[in-house]
Amino acid sequence: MDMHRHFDTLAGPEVTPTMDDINADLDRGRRALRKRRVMQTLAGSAFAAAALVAGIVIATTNVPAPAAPTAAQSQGQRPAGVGTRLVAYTGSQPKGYTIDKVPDGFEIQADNTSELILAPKDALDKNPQSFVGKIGIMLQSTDSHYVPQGKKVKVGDLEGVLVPQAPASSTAATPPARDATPPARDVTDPTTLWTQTLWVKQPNGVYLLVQFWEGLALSESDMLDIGAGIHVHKDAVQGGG
Amino acid sequence: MLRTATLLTAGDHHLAEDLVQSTLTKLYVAWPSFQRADNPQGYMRRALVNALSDERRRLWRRRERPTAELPELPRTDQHSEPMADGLRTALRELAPKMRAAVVFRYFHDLTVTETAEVLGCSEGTVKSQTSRALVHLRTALEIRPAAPALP
Repeated sequence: MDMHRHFDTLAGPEVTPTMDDINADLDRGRRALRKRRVMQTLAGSAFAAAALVAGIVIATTNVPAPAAPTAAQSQGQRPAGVGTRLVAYTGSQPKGYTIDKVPDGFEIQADNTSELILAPKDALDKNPQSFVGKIGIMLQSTDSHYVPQGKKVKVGDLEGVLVPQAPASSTAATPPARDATPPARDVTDPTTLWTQTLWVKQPNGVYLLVQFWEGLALSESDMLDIGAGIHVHKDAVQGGG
Repeated sequence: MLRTATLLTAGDHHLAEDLVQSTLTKLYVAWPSFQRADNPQGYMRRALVNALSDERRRLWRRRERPTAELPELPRTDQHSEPMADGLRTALRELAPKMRAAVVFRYFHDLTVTETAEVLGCSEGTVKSQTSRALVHLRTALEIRPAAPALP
């Protein structure tokens, strides 16, 4: 039994596809590719939304804890995250900067040559590498050429840009990315639970970065006031990386 | 590709066209993978077999529905050799994977190794499937010899 011949007969004659057939196949392929990309985008958005929700849940259940120490409450202070108000900073000034205003109950937790951290007094989180529930202050990295994209604001006499950053839960509790490009997002609600970084262009062209962790409940006006009250001196050092 | 699909669908030309279309679409979507494939021909054949499996699963999920009109029947070549009708029927009685094994082995003349690669199974499976398929085809063709042509 010549199986090959039988198969050849059953398969039918060779048919050369027409241009219409080819174009129809290409159209189907393009449509499928578009559909796939849309589905991937939707899936990515859904994941991002889930991450945001998870971030909010984590931030509202765990993260602000250091900002609400029992000691602070016993002193009649409002815990951070529940309508923080600004007060004049009366402590010793850090190296390289002068601070005018801080959220009520905040102090300078870490002060090294390249970065400064404001955190609630008696905060349980004493790790100077952690920015969770804190305000991080630093100069733009010498290796960074990022031009901030966000809402243009006036910070005292200087120009600034308010840039939202990914939720803390998805970026880990690390110092602000001085050279990274944060995801584009309009800041329509200044109290949103997204970490926001205020970029203030200094007279020498270098940006001062002030990162406000999510959940601090600072209004945009508060953030601008804090930024305007930070004065950079010549001995402030730009970090690298 | 259409001829292979016709054999894989046991002569169902309409289904074969659907398979080719869906396979080409999948190849278009996965074009970078197709280009990187060591054996593009094998990649295409495997995609065709997968499309057949997908189609079969889809068909299994379908429910019979009463309709006022008879559905369109699979097209068969009215002028095909009588032997082809017997072969078509015998092929239809084979499991799709078994049909694919015998088609790749005896129509495309692939080796056992190449067939195993296309079907994503072991060489032993290809040998056993091919052997059983051949026995079935031979038996069927002997039991159901083609009807003699009318004078």
